[in-house]
Amino acid sequence: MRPLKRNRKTVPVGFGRISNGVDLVEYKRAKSFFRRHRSHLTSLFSQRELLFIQKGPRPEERLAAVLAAKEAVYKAVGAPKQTWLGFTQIEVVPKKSGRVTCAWTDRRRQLSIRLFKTRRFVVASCVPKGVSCAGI
Amino acid sequence: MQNERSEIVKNVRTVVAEALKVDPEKVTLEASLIKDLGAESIDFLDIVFRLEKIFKIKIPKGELFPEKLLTDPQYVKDGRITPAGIEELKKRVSNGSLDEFVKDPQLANLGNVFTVGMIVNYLAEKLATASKS
Repeated sequence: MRPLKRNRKTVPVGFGRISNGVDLVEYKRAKSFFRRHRSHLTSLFSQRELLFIQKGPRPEERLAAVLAAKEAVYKAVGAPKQTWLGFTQIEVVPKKSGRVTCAWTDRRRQLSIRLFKTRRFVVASCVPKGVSCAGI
Repeated sequence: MQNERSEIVKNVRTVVAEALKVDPEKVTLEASLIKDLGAESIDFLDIVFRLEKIFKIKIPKGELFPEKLLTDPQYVKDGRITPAGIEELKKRVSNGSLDEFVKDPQLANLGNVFTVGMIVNYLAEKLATASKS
């Protein structure tokens, strides 16, 4: 059997290099966070992110999606587990079309993020080429 | 003073155990929030907000979990913390985990130096400064 070829294509950007970044957030966890710290959300998210989180019938699911997407971006660009501060440095906004736009506050760049829903989790995957995502 | 510190330790252990839903016995001062207690990004946010509430303080961005280290090119190069970054980190953190980290200062391992003890030290200093002023 031929060995699997590793193909971690990287491109320089932002914090360093981009590879694949994956993260998942449990809905239960996001729900409890949303209930407990709802008033703090304005200090963590941009206006567009807040609009996305709050306009749906299940904001905790949307919060989980945004959190997972952000964490996936950080993992993709090579940063470690981030502190809460990192959350204001990038903006991820899932669109109705299913695409997720992502921008750094200091350097606007499109990154490709895909979101997947399971019964318990939302999973985000960030890769360096354009993909569409399942709508949330 | 000793009483104040043990009160801080007690409250921090409670906050961390509740936020991470772990057995309070596991929340020792040496325990790494990520490696030993399984904290994730959402948990860091949760812990900071709970600490603000219980200690009635405001924790400014970057003070408890240093942001600058992750974004400043002076402190991070090619996925590793530079000597200048390590010096900066030493000002904030003093525990065994940091000694271990310094041997191989990869950015990806930085989370391991965030221990329960680090939070306690931060709060002790913060509250002492607040009471003086």
